[in-house]
Amino acid sequence: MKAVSNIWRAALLSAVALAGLLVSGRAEAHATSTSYLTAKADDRAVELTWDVAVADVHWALGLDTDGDGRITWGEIEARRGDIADLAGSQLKLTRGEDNCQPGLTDLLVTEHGEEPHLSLAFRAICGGRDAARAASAMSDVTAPASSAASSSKAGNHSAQLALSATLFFDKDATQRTLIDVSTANGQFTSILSPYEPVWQEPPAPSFLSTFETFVGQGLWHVWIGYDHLAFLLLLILPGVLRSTGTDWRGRRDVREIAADLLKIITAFTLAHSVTLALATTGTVQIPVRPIEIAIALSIVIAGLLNLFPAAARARLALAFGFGLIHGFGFANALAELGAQGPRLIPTLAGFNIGVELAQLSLVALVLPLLLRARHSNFYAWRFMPATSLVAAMAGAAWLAARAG
Amino acid sequence: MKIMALTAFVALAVSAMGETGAAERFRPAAPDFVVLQVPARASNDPIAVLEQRVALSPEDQSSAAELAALYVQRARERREMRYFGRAETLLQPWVGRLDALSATLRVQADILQNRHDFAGALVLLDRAIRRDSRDVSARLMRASIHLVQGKLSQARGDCAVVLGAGESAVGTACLAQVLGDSGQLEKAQALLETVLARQELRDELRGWMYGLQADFADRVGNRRRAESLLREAMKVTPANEGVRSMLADLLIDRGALREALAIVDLPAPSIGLLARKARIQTLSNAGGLDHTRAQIEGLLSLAERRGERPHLREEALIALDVERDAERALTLAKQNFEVQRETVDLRLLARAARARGDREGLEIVARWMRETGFEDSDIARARS
Repeated sequence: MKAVSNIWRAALLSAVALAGLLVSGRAEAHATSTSYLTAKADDRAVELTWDVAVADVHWALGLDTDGDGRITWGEIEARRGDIADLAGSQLKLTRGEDNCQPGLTDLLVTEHGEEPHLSLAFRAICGGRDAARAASAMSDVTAPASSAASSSKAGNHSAQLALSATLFFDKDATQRTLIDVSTANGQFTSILSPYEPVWQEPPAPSFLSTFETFVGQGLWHVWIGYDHLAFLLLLILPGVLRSTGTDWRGRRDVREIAADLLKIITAFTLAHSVTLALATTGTVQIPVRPIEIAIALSIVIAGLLNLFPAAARARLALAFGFGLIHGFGFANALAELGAQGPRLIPTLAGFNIGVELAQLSLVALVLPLLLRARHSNFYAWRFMPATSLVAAMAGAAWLAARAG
Repeated sequence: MKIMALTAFVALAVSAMGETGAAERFRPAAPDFVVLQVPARASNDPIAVLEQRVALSPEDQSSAAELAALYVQRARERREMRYFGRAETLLQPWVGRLDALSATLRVQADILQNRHDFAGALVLLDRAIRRDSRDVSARLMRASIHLVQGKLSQARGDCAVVLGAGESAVGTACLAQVLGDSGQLEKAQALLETVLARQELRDELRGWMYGLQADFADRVGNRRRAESLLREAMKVTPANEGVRSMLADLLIDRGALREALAIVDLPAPSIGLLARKARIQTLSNAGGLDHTRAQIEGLLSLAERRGERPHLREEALIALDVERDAERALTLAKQNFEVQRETVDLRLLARAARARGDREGLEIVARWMRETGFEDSDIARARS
């Protein structure tokens, strides 16, 4: 007893001492207690991959059988059954009223944050005779992490999925399971903890509701997208002017102005709609960074070209060409909002319409002012070029920041 | 058309580095492939002894508290957060209970202060001290928290009790910290020297005191001595990342970048060490910066996804020294200063404020130094 109490005192003092130098230098570094679960649910089954830290499994099962301080693949494979039982007993899935019994299909090794993990592949078939057990199995676990489940008929594989993955929750208060779930209704990410151990798939939003939401998102993303607005403005500014080759003159005919702007905006709209659709459907994938750089570059070029009346004929090609780039930019924004599966059509259509409405609103705001100013030399030779130059400089600054 | 084509080509030719995705999953080819190395378990491991006892008698609070304390110690020695979680679960049955032992309260407080829940930790420590005013460990922990928060008079009271309880080494060091932070650096240094001269100090205590003395030396401008002390601290407490971070900062400031890199290059490093590593790689144009940034981003994303408190100090350092975003660094540094006020936090705020030309930030630093008497030659030099 005395030996233990000495240990106790020493442990306390050393713990405090170690905390003492910058008590705020909290013990970090090594892995937090995190496991990673991905689930893909289709009509027939749910495929899962659960990555669990080897150190945690070792603590529970003692994987270092020969005690030499090295956990080998052979030692792990020899305990495959125990590992499957350990993880499987803490993994529960239901689909509506159907139980989905997971079975281990593979055991591999991977890494998260430079820490070795066991990657356990499971396959869970939903439905069958265990429907009655499903409800009680899930009701043993406390309140779900997201919205309440909706009931569904047994065997209905479009019913909402619910899952809990509670490995080590009873031993480690900091243990978390990060989940990424893919169902017919979309992609979901969430986190399970000892306090919220169950994830429940939310009901799918209606077509109209999704459409309305993304019209709003499209509007919002253009209005906060200063780079898109800048480029659009640079397309509009010379629209009320006519190039003589060496000079800018105000256009007389309002119909001519309207036709020109309609062509420019339509070209821009067509182009970005195409690439937005291609990127959102995954047909074309381009990393974010070069797109952001190209968007900044488009502003620099558009701004500089406005200084040269001779370049006026390039406006249509510019609008279309850079519209393609801006479409990829919109797609990146849309990707962050999630646009997959059966919601893709209302999402894409709504977002696109929102973008168009925002663009039209900018034209509606700016055009009356430009129409009034178009005949003045001040507008043609001072205001329009100066504004274009300022925009180009802003674009250059963004380019430097994004490329740096 | 030519302009458009060229632009599109240039833009699309710039390929992003690509984000680090999840590691590949693989099946090792050979059964003797080593997946993980673990410390060999000693036959007389005190943790194993207590784990058996607790497994047999889970209602034995005293044993549970002892085991939890050892878990916390192991968490620090091995830099493994999961041991904090295990300690917390072990003591869960006694959370908020009147019959919680002082030992339980102290370990619970240690767990809370580790994740910067200083208010929660203080509640528990206050309770333990009300129960026994001569609870040395609780007093020392409370003093440490008050020092971090810049509440020097409260810290002084606790340090005096620790000293009066016969813990002369620890109590003297505690008091030295108070003196050092309240305008009596020379006296603080002299006090610590008397303690360090003693032979019987445990490694952890000696390492702590070397670190304190190094902080004092640095603040009076004796950087060479500060470096030497931190090297001594590293010998006895090699896992202490605070010591490594401080030494790395000194080495970076005098241009010893290669040596600084070796100091911070631990396996599975924390965000703090990675921030220094990224700074070194930025300054030296050495390779690996993208990988380091990816590691930092991975850890920050993980912390965010886990719903943990932000690492304000480290994010401010990264914003200032790696991203060169002085505005963001200043915002983070100010938020960080609300939570913790150690030398590194004060200097961080001062640097960010100077980089941004922010008078308010500089005034916050100046006012705090006036009110407490805190001395720092680094900040004084920058102001002159």
